[in-house]
Amino acid sequence: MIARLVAKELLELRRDGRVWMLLAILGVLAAGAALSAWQQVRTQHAAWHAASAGEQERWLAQDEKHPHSAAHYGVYAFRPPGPLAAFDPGLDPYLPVTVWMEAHRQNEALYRPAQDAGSAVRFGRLTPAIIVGALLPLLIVLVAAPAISGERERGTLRQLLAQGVAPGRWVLGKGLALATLLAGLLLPLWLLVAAVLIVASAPLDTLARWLAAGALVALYLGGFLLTCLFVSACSRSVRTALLVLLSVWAVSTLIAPRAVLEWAQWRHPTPSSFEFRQALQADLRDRSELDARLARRAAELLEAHGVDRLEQLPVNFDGFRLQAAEEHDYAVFDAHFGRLHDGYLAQERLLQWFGVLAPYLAFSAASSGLSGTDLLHYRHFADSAEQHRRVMQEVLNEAIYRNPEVDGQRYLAGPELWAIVPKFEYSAPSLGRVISGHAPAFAVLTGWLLLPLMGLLRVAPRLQP
Amino acid sequence: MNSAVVRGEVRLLLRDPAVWIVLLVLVVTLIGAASQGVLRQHAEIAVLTEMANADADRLESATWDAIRLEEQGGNVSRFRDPRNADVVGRRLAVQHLILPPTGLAALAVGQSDLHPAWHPVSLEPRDQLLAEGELNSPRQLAVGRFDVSFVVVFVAPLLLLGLLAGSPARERESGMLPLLAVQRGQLGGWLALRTGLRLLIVLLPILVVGVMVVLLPGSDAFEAAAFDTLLRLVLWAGAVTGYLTFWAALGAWLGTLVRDTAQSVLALASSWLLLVILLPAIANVSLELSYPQPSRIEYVNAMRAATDLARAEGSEALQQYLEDHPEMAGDDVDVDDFFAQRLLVQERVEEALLPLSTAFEQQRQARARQVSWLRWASPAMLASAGLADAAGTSESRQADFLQQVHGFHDAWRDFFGPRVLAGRPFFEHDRIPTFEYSQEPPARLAARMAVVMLGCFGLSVAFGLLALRRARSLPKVMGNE
Repeated sequence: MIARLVAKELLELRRDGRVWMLLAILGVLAAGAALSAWQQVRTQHAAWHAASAGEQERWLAQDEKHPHSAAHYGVYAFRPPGPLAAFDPGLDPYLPVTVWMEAHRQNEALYRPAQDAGSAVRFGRLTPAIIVGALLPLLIVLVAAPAISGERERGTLRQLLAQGVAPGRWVLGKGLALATLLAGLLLPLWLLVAAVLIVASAPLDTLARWLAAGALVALYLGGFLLTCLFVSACSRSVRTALLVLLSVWAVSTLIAPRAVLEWAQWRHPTPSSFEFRQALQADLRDRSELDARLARRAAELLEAHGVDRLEQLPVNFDGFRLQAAEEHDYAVFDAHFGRLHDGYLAQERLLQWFGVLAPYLAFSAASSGLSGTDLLHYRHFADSAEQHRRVMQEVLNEAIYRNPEVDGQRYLAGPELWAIVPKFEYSAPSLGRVISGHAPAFAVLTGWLLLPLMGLLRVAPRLQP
Repeated sequence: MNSAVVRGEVRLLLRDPAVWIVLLVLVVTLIGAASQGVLRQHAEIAVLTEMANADADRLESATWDAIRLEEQGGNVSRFRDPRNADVVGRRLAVQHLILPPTGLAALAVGQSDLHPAWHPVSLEPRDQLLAEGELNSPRQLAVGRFDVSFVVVFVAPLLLLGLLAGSPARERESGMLPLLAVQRGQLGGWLALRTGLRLLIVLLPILVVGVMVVLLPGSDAFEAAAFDTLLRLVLWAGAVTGYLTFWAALGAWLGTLVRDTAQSVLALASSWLLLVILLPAIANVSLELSYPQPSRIEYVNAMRAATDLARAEGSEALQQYLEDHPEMAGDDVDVDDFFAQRLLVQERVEEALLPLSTAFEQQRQARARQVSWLRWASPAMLASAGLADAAGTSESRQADFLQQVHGFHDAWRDFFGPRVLAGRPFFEHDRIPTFEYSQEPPARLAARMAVVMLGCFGLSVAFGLLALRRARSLPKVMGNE
């Protein structure tokens, strides 16, 4: 019975010219978006690879110089594109691409690609994730809104019920047919990408992310489909169903993201760059604790070595001074940059919870998370770069400490020291961490699936003509 | 058309609950967006003022310190000495050049959240100074702001089309259309009146809110730049009117093409989706494929390589520089001076980077030219760009500001360069160049906005004429089915 219902519904969908037209439009848009995203990620990846290798070469090829000069020369860390950035570039165009790791300071990351992209790019971006998250739901609305309300409007629902068709099974048939249509569209594409990833020997983490992205899409679109069927079952006419569902779509994808983010910004304000720097500088200026530590350590060393002046020590006190200053500033940097990033992430969490009202918010947050193009990944990159900077400074300051001036000649380090400084290598956080960071989004989307399902289970058996 | 007909239409309109729902949604979103805009503008002005004050205080304190040190003596590191031209030009006199928000900045965020409204100028390398920016949340940048411009470009057309939906299909379905034709002769006038009244319902609240935001108590826009604000307000209102008139004309024309209310809803919703979402998206994809944006990563990589090369020649930089610029080689240039060395190595590095930065900028500008053509892909893009331009938050005003920043940076170097090279104590704190932003000529802004308005009104006239032509045969077309 169910199989026959599904077959009949699919036949009707196949005969519907509008469905073919919508699919053709979506297909063309998806092909263009995928091609553009793939091209961008390929270019970004090549640039990232070349720049990272170039930076390491330059670091190793430095002439003989004092280690602190090398510390000031520093190294640029470049942010790699996310593992699934071609699917969802997410926040990539708005996240800085590089950070300069040098002595004394944790620098703000630089250069958001969108600054060089021109204003049009901010108006109507098209990516595979946007097609799945914003345009496919529209297709579902247009196809599913008349599914039950249309039969009611035409009077065919009355005939079906009079013939003894179980309404619950009939609705299930409708739902399965629409789900089959969607699966028929998306599953081959998903498998194709999975196959490409396997052939290209993509890391297991990337494959796992793709698997999770598939589950996310199924959850989101499944919820949307059930919502459409529920609204269609409750509506007296196609017009009403269409109006309600188009309003849900417009609010969810268009109005809610901007409105919620304004509220999130109000709740967790981002400081202006000027305020941020003023506060940071004010805290960095307080060196009383550092000066006391340096005086203590100098006295200890002078006593331990039985000398009167720092220059007579068998170690270079400047190395200790530089490292102590670095360590003193760590806490200040951690506090200020930590607050900044915590603010971003708090806004992000709020956005995910507001998925209760607008599921697109939850979908886009989780999708960019799985693709490695969200704030969680950005913070992970920025933290990794800062940790690397600290290791770098420690190695270089240690070398200064161990090499005091000899006959007034400053110690000059060479390639052997540059080689000791580890290369900056970044790998994205694990899938588990990503999923736990986006738990609210997954919870909300599960709710969006279950709620209309429960509603439908209640409404479908009592369907009125 | 007599006034009784107009009164009748107004009465019908006021009885329609959809009108009140649309008005409610519009007013609520407008008030939300406008209040956000006003708060944002006030916060921005406060930060910019604080920034300018901090610059002034720092310079004043340096001036007094220099006098005090000269008169009373005292030990101070060369790297902190307010009598050292390099220290003053690099740190103590740093000036944040400010792009002042216009009187309409609260109406459209435009590109102002992506590009800072300030740039520091000092003796530090230009690239380093220009790289500084605001810390705005990346998510908010990606999603966009909830401003009045968003309400105008995205929400208002949707509401207007909602009011136009089912007209005149509903009259046909209820059998009123032939009666109207008999009573009122030509249906063109009737259709224009209906459409015009609905347009006014959406347009008037937007214009009122726009004017209120500018005239709000506490806003000193008029005092600061009365003519500029007034001009921008007129141009903004013209662009809003042109854009919404286009949607009204399009809605009226589409309404005459379809036969029933459901079709009408679908046709209007599809037109909105096509013009506001799909066409801009397609235009962007084609832009990305044909004019990929220049890569900053590649630029930084090339910059580092070029910098290394130039620095390697650093020890010879001063001698070489003086050979290239003999006018600078006065008797008092100290070739061993650290500050002079640093400045000249920096000059050498920037010279080496010039081809790179020029190539990058050219690629950026080529893309910007394409982007400006892309506006024509959809009236929504055209209006969005126009509204940002009128509010002074567009890419073009930012580019104009940047050009002034470059010019001032050159003037700064011309002022400090010889003084750093001379290495003499510096006491000319009161002669340091100061920056004043010069507004772009009003005619240039007006010309750009005229193009936007011409585009919108041109399309409005075209669709309006098409609608009137179809309206003449409405009873025949719709009634004889």
